[in-house]
Amino acid sequence: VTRQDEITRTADRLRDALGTAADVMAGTGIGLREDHYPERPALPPTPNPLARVRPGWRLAWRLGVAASAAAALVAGIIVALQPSAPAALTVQLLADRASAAALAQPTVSPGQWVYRKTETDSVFPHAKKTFQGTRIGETWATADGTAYYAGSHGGSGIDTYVGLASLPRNPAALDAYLERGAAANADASHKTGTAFVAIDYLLSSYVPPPALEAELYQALAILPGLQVDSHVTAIDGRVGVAFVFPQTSWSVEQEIILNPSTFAYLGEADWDAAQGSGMESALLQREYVAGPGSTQPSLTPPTAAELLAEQAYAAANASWPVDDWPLTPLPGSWILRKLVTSSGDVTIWATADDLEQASYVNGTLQVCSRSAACAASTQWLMPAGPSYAVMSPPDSPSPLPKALPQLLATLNSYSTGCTDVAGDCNAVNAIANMVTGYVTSPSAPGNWYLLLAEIPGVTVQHVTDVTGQADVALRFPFSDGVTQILFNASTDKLVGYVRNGTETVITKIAQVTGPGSVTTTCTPNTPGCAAK
Amino acid sequence: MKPTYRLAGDLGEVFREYQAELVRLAAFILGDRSTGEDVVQDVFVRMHQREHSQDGDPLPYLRAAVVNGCRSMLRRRRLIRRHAERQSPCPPLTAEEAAMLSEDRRQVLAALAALPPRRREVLVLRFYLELSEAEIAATLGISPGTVKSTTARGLTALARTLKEKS
Repeated sequence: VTRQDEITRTADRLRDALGTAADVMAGTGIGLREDHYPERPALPPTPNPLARVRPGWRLAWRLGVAASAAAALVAGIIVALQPSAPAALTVQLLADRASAAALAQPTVSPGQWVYRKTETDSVFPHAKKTFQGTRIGETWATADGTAYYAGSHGGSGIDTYVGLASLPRNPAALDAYLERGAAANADASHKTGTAFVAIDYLLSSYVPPPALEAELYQALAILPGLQVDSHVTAIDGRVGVAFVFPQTSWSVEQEIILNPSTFAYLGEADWDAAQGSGMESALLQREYVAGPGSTQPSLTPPTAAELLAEQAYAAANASWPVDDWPLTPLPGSWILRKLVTSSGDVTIWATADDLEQASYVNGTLQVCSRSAACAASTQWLMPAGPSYAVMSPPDSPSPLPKALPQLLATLNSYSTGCTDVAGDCNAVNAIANMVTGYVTSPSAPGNWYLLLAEIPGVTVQHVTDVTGQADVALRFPFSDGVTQILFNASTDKLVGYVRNGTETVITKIAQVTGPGSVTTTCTPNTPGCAAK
Repeated sequence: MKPTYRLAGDLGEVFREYQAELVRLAAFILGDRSTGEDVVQDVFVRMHQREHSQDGDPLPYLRAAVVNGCRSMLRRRRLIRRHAERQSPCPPLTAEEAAMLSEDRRQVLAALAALPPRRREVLVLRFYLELSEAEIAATLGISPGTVKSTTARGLTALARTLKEKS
């Protein structure tokens, strides 16, 4: 192979990798808020639903003409809003009703699962074609937004739920706080818009404590220049009443829509009158449920195990990438782990896909391929459960089921040699193997952690591990195999496991140059390595 | 439901048209997706604040602005790194997306991310956006000859890194 051939081949590989990565990113929505912008391919030419509904209803509202049943509903809003006095519908009045409704809501635990079914309609004209789309989305997320299941979630938004507790509890201070997302020298309108969108985000993504939700509505009420509007949303013919941030030279009109009879948060919309483009998103259903995947209403607080699993899941996602690894290490990369166990300390090496393992036995480095015998000699985990290739196949999603009951059944079908098969010990062993044995995407372990909390008889116990660190353990009622999985009590990150009575804590994990090596691989984000 | 502003008027149209491509460009150059989104957002906000309309294709200007934004972001990040020993970068691909790429492609992207920023810029403009040497020269404000030599050096370094790994 000549040098020029090699350069040409490298160029081809680079072009291919960038193109495929761009396709993957496009497919998962990078840079495209899929809620706002439907796919480019032309859709059948149907009347623009927003255009049909909005001008008509706005006109009806302004003229006070009750032209149809829906208009009567709109008229009903006015009655609902004005039980006593002939007061006009004002931002303050709407905020007061919404605050009162919020205060009447139960306080839910931050770990409470919430099921949301949302319809999003969007429309925008482009050249000679008008694009429009409707999307029904189902998501499960905890009230604090830290754990979610199916669909995506804007978790990296303005504030985390934990931060909400420290938000100022008076409307003016709250606005000042939420406006900080705007540039320091931004004009008043930019700041108002920033606070408006921040409040919308908090209301749509979380279940804030009732007192805070009430304050958020009061904070809306004192933002300058807001309007109220009632109209039929394009969605399901639902009537809404909305706080409106009117269109400015720099922003389209933004709306926070409430249910006109319960004053609960219903949805959000934006509308660009100049372009005739917009988006409306409304909750078709929102329920407190017992767990991810369920749609049955249940305000059961999560169990201690479920809470721990949710937190561990959030911690696994938040801590990615591991140390300074910019991408998942390649399957064949060698990973060094330092293990502290109740029967001594050991350093072991394994490839990221765990197909090869290595350790020093009597001063000699032994390298073996993944097998029961090798696992025993290297003191590493059991070679059981889905392989790395099944869990993380190249260029395609994993064939493992995502729904928890099916995932449990699949994992239980692996034989891991444990006794309590009926009690789901195989699934626990397979999960323990995958979360500790493979170095790969953290997204799948999320589901696995949630599954651990559903194993019959699982309990949570605060323990001190062999390194003296305070941990929280998920304990399973098995006589052998993996009986505990340990998480750091303060960070919720996975630290180790107890298997056949031996406790193992992973104290160090690093990508190294090969089996037996302690030289850390220079990765693109390792300080001092990148500029070579 | 991450908060996002939609810009009014023509700029909104341009934003919708090019935002996704520009974010990917920035993410590849920076090796960091969320910062890439910020850079592109900033470019559009600045473009809006200048309040003058541009005639013709806005894309060359936008590309150059995004590359410039990436550079100042890298400068800022180096400063921050002096203070904070450890940063937690957001890779250009989410872990879930990375898992959808073959080993070979991940290896190529990792090797690309390890190159010095200027070489990375040239290679991404050349092999992701498929720009000509003249277009790259205009975007980066360097001579076509420098584009040629930087591309060659970048590919050589990339080939060497990939060879070491395999």
